[in-house]
Amino acid sequence: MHPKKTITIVSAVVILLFVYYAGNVSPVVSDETYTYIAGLSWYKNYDEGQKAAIEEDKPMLVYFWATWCEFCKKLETEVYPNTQVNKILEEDFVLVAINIDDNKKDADAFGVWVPPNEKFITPQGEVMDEIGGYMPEDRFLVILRQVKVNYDSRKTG
Amino acid sequence: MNTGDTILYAISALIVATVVLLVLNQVPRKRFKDDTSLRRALDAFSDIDAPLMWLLRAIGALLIIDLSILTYYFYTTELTMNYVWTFSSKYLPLVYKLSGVLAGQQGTIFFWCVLVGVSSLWLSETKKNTDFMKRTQIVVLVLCLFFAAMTLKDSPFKTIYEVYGDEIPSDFVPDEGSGLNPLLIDPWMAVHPPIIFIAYGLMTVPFALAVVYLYSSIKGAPKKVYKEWADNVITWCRVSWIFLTLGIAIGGFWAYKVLGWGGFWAWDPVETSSLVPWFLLTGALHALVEHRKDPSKYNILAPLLVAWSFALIMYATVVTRSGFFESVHAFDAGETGFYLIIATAIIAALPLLLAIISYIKTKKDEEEGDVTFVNQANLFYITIILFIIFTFISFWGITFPAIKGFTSNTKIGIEASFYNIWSYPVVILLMLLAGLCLNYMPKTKNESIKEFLVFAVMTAVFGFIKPTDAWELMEYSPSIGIAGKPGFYMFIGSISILSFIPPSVYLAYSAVERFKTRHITPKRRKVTKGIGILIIHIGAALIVLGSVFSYGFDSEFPVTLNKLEEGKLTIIPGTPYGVELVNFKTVYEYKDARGEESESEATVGLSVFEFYDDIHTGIDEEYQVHGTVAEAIKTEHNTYLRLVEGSEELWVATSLADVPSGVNVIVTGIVQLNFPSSFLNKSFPVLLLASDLRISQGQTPQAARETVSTTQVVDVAIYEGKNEIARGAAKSVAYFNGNIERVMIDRGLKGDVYVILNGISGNTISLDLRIKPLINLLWVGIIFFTFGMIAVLVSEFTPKKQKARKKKDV
Repeated sequence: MHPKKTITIVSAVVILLFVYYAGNVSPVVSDETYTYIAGLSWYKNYDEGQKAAIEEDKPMLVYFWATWCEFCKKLETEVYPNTQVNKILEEDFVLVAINIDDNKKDADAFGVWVPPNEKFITPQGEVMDEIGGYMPEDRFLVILRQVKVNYDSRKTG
Repeated sequence: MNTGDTILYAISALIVATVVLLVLNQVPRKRFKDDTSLRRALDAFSDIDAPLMWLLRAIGALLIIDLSILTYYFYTTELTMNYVWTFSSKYLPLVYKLSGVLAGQQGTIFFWCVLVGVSSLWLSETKKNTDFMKRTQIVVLVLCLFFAAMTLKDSPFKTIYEVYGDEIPSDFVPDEGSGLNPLLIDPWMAVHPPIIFIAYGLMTVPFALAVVYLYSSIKGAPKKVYKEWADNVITWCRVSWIFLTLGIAIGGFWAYKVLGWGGFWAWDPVETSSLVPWFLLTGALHALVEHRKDPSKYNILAPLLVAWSFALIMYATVVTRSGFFESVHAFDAGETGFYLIIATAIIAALPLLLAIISYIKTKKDEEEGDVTFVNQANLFYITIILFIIFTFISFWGITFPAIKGFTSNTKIGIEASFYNIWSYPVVILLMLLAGLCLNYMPKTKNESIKEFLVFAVMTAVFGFIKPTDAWELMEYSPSIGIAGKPGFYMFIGSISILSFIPPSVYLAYSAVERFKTRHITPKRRKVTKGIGILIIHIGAALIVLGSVFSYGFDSEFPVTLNKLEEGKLTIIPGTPYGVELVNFKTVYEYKDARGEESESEATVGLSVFEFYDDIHTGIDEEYQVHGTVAEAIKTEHNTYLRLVEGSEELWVATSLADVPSGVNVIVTGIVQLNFPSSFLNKSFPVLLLASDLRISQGQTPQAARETVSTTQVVDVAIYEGKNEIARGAAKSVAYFNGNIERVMIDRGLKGDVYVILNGISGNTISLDLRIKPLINLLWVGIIFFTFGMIAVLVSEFTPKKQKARKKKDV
């Protein structure tokens, strides 16, 4: 075979391999039910999150975000992955992440149009606390613990 | 209908007329028998040069007039024009008023239309109207018509009355426009869009030339056609390449300066989409150079690459404008996006179809030729293929998530690491091979290959040298979604950054060797061209080194300073760096005094509003507050002052002082809650016990004047050990429609010291200090690219003039 043909065929194969491999290993940001942030699964809409919260008897963290929001990226890369924060989120909260561009219904229902916004909500739908904006991990951790304590004391009290 | 649209309708009609005229002129006569009425009718269109020239002049002139009208609306801030109202304001400086023309989708599409029309005019004025050129004009004009139609569909010339109809009174004139996005209020952003769009507009012509050439080559293009195509396309491509390079670089420079991300490149879909055609165009230029020397080389590939470079430019517009792709460039979507997608699909498919037909028809002509593997032609072919793969990686990065999203409702996250990891092997190989190609001589083949191998081995060895983890390309851990740790990503990520050095050095070295062996001649033309090629390739090496090292060894340190501690040096723990607060001030820019900035002393510290805002969340040790004295009461030991700002008031107690009411003061002290005063016989819920009181001199209270912007300026000096390494001001500017950070950049040969003002809360100033090593190599590389290509262009233009002179002399 003429070398040029060989080169062409080899490069076509390289491109196909790239497409196949890159396609398989690229991080999945979300599927039908969940959005994946900081290694955790977040419900994509409020109703499903609430159902899970009732079942598990845990408060919800409803996180409103957008792809173009720089402080959301900061939250997702610096705050949520923090070991302590991540552990509490995983164990003690039902997580809901609402993309305010995709899920206008929930964003409107809570009147959120400036991301990031984080609301702590009981399974019954009562907003216990909220953070309007970005918050560094140390302060975020304090609030998480407070909400957890408040919620537990409500249950016992 | 408004004037602008009317003119555009007239232009569209003229374009249709011109295209019809050209088509009638180009219909093959052979198909019709002589002497039929149809043939006679067609013969009437066999000489159209004069009307064609005037039609194109009319189209070009009207387009320029129409653009001038739109520009004039921005110049005078004609707020009854919806587009002006949306993107401009009376208070903006002239240059930013004018940049409003390209601030939105409607304006940019229209600008593109004008550029295409002007390119068509340029083509007809500078070249003979041969059949090949006439056919090219047909394609160019059809594209111009498309952009004109898109402009008319969503016109920048609509008045607010046309847009809002009955919702507003018919005599309503807005007082003020919505203003320009503060991010765009920057000199670099004023030039970035026009330069990018000039590149986009100019590329229409190479596309048209390529399509017509591919069409002609189906029947075996005659030599005359080949020459016309090859000589013209390369110049247009080179000029577009200069603009595209500058446009992308200026965008990156702006991002570095204004966005405060600390980087010039984020692999954001819109940035990436402008880089994709650049890669392919660069590959196309390499193919064109060879194709121009020998028509049989890259006869199909070269025009196809040129045409696809334009298709990718259209694709970039789809990415930016259609809203199909999510990105930080959150522009508005709409039907325009849909039409752009259809047009892009046609623009990509047409040349491919022609190329396939041409390939099938001319296949038998292909010779077996030289079947050795290592020869110049094959090496060159591989470099072009690498450019194509490089293009495809970036193209796939923006396209794949969209495809996946449409087909499976699954979102895929493509981050910078995707592009960096996949591009790495391609860039390394490309630089090594380019080095070999530049310096390859059949005579000294073995020596060249030896050199290549030495550098290739060095690259591999350097890949292992990493004193610490910081020397690795990256730690692969995607910040989004769920992902495994794929072997290939982990492997590439663990390679040392130093592996970029041997290929860069080899590329630069080969470029110098090539210049020495081939371009040192008495012929000025050849020398100029040689210098051009030399510095373009050195530029490429510098750009790679600058970007890789500035990102790889970038270090970032958060710092907090106290507003009240001017002159204090804060050492950043664990680093040799220290930051001294030299000065803090707030600067106002007033609407009624455009350009005159006033620095108000009275704004040291917090206003009364800001004070209450701050103590709401917790009380600091000490506060500095400024305000206007509304009332002053003297007791035996103290003076009590009532500071006001709007409806808020704050009581301040100081040692005895004569303070007339109405003056502005700055007080510093501690906060007391529920403070009882026996002398005044009352209790203050909040009282500031001032240890320091200053009366500020005759300032106009800021509330009385409307401000355009409020800038907080933090002057800092950065120290490394005991040496001051940088000094400057990091600023945060608040406009009514948003804030922007103006970073402090102190450039140096070793790199930049970069300070971002993150925010100010109470007396706490938080900064980010970044050290960016070797970043300026990147900008030097861009300058090399530009001047190198200009040198290449110049080298080709000179002899033509000489030829003309010679002809005259004869």
